[in-house]
Amino acid sequence: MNDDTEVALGRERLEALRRQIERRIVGHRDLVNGILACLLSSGHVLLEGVPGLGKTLLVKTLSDALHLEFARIQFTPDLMPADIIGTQVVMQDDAGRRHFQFQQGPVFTQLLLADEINRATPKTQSALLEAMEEKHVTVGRTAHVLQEPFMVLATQNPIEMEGTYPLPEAQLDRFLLKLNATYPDAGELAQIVDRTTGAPMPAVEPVVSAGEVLKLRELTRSVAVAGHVRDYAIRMVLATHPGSAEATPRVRRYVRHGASPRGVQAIVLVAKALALFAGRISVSFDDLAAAAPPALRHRILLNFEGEAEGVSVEDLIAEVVRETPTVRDI
Amino acid sequence: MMSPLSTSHGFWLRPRDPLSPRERLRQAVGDLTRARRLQVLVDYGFVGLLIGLGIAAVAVWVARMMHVQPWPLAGAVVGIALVLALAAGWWRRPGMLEVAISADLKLKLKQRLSTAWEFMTASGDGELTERLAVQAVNAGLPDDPGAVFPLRVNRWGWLAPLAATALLLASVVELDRTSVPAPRAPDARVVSEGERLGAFGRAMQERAARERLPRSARQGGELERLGARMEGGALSRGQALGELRRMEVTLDEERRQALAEAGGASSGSRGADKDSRADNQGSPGGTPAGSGLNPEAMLDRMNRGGLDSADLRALTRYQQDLAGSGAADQRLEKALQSRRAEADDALREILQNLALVERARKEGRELGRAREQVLRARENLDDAQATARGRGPRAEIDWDDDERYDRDAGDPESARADARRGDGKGLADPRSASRGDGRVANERAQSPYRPEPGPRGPVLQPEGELREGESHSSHARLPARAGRPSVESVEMASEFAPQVEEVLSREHYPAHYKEFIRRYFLNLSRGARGAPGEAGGTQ
Repeated sequence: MNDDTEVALGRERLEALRRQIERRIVGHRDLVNGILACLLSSGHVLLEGVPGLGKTLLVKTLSDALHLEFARIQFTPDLMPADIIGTQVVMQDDAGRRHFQFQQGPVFTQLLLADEINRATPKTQSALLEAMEEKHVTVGRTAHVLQEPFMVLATQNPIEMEGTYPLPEAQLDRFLLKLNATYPDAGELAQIVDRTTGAPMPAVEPVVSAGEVLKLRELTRSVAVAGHVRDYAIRMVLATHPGSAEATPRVRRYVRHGASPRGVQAIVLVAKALALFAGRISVSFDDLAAAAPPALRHRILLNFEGEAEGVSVEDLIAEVVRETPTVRDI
Repeated sequence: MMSPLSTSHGFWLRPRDPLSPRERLRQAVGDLTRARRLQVLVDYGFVGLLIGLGIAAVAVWVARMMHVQPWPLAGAVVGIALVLALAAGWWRRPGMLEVAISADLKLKLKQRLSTAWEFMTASGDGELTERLAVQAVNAGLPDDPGAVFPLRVNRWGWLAPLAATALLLASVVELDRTSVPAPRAPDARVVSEGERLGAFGRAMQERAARERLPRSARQGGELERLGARMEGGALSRGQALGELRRMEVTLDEERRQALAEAGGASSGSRGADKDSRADNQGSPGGTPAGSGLNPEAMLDRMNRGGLDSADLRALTRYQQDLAGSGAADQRLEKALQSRRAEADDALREILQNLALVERARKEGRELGRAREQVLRARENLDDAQATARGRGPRAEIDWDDDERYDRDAGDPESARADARRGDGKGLADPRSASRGDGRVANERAQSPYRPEPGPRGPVLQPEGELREGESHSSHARLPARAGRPSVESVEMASEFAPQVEEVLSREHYPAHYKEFIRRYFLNLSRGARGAPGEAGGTQ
């Protein structure tokens, strides 16, 4: 039992949010957890999965359950940066004088769904970089601050590589987590069929406001991480570096670049959110281990040998998590 | 909110622990740390025990091979290993944070305890610290730290009985049996010394039987058995030396006891202790035998009828000898006067005590000679210890005294005559046959166990060139060739055949040697019957 009232309240709001999402989304508990953790950690999510798994629906449902502004951009090869950020247009006032006025693009929202982000050109993709990292957009000489909370949820299809532009590493690193949407099992499929082929989809009520999201973010950051727990996250990230003493033999052989410092930040932040979900105000080793795969999988770059042998980054991360000692010298 | 009262497992309602969460946390981590440190010490103790027992097993084995007392060594090794292991355990004792982390993992507290402890020790007072302490306490701190870190037998502890078994085996397994079963080539010197000791043992037993000396008879038997084992090749040189050392110690002890008995009997029998002192100094003139007395024969005659005039003269002469040496025996003098008055009880008592003293002295001399033989065997087997010691005690051995003993035992009158012939001092001087007596020195050649003096060995003068321009020469005399023993050859082989089975069943010999020994003695007997002149009979 936890006596911490603030934490209990936060948990209650999150449970309410989860219940609303579950009214429309079947399964995908890990996916929902990851998105919520990302929301509380002030990060952005890259959702990857084959078409039809409900990625877009999940994001739309989340936006419905939150009192947040929502916008969607369907990325296509001919999409231009101005289509995302906005552009200067010539306006005429009552006196007949003309002047340029900035017309905001869809990025000026709180929840942004970047659907099939890898279909746009790198130039357009990188238009999101500043918004994601700095939370503002610079047009001309003017910086336009985005509203808080601001979160980008991007989706991409891993199989249709024709006419796509894989996200550059710098862009990938901006995403706090990369979540994989998996196929539902038989029970979940049955529920999906029942919900979508009969009565209209149930409505989702907004249960968490923007202010509450910000307070939850603050609460998440206040979760304590002990030094020896933090060191475990550091050791895990170091173990992804092929030149590090902590690296496993397979990492040394198949990895070209390991996770950046943003990897440790992502692990710790997400672990804090997971601790909060569990009603704790301190992070455990298990939280870090659970946060590691989604936080590291898009930050590890295989070398040629790894690509040629079809080595799975997921397996490498699982090996790193398994073989990194939680406590040293005891 | 938690209730101010909580039910325990007992019947009574108890007030809730009044300690604050922080104090409870501090107390819990302290208790856990003590339990964990004790556990670590015990773990290290088992490691030390295992290592100590292992090393002790090896040490005991080596000590037994070197004929050193093994158990003190084993105890010391185990003790030192234990102390070192415990010291290492104390040195590597875990810190409180490490203990909290371990407890977290064991109790699945999701690092609540260790996080709270770390923040409490690092940050001190603070709201977050207080919240973390509350969280840790609510997660369930252990009531019994011993249950979290119990004292257990670790894998090293489970292996300790194996090491103890090895130690036990090392201390009880007979080293002889562990040797290679292939027959060992007998050491010629051991065999030769065995022959000599066996012959001496038999002769000693004969003399002891004749003189009714039980200690000497027993030790003579032991010597004969040892000689037989050495002669049969059952003992290596090292083992033979070990047996000889033990034999020497036993003979020493027996001799000391015999002499002590002689001293006790003499002091109990005579009021005049001077004579006792003279006996203990080994002066033959102050003893009955040195005066030509045979107390046992006199007692026999007294019991049969009475002493004759020759006996009385001998006793009178003995009494005069004592008086002449300043150790007059008033009781003897009175007894002799009473004897003339036909009251011989006092004289009988004196004669009985004299017989006891004489027998004990004979035992002492016989055992001393046996010890000398053992020492000589050790020297001949190149025992450095015996050789070093031989320069001391060996010089004290008086072969002349042994000669005198033999002759006196056989014929007291001739011994007295010899003494008179020597330098005129005769029995009047109790030290007339002491070392350096020219007459007795001439008799050394008659000793049955002393080699005949031979010519001195040849002189060697090797010369040579060590390196260019540097020559070297030395001068050395080789030892003389050993003389031939002058003892008469007595046929003994035929006596061994009937005894061999009895001895083999009574004594311990390596199993693979028993048949060898049996065949050896049976062959000896057969050879003795077939060709008496060529018999391999021992002397």
